[in-house]
Amino acid sequence: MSLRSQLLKGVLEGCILAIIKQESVYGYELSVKLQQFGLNDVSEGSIYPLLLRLQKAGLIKGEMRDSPSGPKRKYYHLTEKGEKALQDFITEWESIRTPVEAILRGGEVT
Amino acid sequence: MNAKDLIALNNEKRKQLNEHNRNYYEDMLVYIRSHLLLSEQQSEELLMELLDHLLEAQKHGKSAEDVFGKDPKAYCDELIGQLPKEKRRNIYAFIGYLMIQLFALITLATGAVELVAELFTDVDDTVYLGKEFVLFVIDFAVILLVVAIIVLWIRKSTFRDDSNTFNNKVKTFLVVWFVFFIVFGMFILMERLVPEFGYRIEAGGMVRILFGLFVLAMTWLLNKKFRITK
Repeated sequence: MSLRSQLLKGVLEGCILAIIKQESVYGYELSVKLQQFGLNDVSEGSIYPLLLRLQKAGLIKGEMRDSPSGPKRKYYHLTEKGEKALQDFITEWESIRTPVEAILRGGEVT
Repeated sequence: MNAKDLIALNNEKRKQLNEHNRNYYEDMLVYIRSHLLLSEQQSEELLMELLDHLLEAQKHGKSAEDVFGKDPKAYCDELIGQLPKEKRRNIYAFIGYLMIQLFALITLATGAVELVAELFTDVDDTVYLGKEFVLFVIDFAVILLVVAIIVLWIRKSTFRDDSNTFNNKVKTFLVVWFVFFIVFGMFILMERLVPEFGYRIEAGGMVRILFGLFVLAMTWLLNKKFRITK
């Protein structure tokens, strides 16, 4: 596994939750959005084990719905628990981001 | 959509895959479905999602490997690890349903054989309920065991390129017949080995057929009411 994908692994779930919060999406749509944001090397299939995991944890819920482009698809939306998990993720991310950036830039301890 | 509808739709949609992608996808499908204890509904929803995704990717000129990676077995194992198990209640209901249905079919079949035999000879109509019960339990256990072995065998042979060679087909054919004879022989042996005991009744061919039909109708009603097979 490349360094990049190892780094990504931990944050991908948070990204998926954030995308689903904006609007409910189906699997293919989700993978396209991740790529549009620049995460090109997330292999498309890797979102499905994550989606199953998030579903199992009760953070998202899948629903078979008619899609504008044809037959029924499974659309995911955030549950209440998922909203909270996303909030927690954002808080955690913020608390890591600033110190990590500071360290990487070679700054001094404040 | 319930599992049955999803399976039907999957069969239909799968035809749109090109040969390469279809081979790749069908291996995944067989492998995931061979895990019988997983929630059928969730498994079929996932299989449909994967198929939809692959169809979309195919339109954009991608192959199954581009989407799901070069190691489909490892990928499927990862998915299976996250899929919820079927509810115990559903599993028991399904096994019970199969048992009753098998019982009805055996009663019908023996009834029909007897009805024909009665035309030519004097048939002994005596049935010992104790013996019949023991035989039935043994037969059912053997059938379940054989099914389990077949499913495990199918699971083991997916994702292998050599499963379609002539040698393998001959081997499969021989093994299947061997198992068939062993099982059939066992049924006959058990019929002789289990002693006659328990409540004794007289049930001729017609009685058995009517009783078998009655039980079959009951399973049909139960299935309709509780949607055991969805």
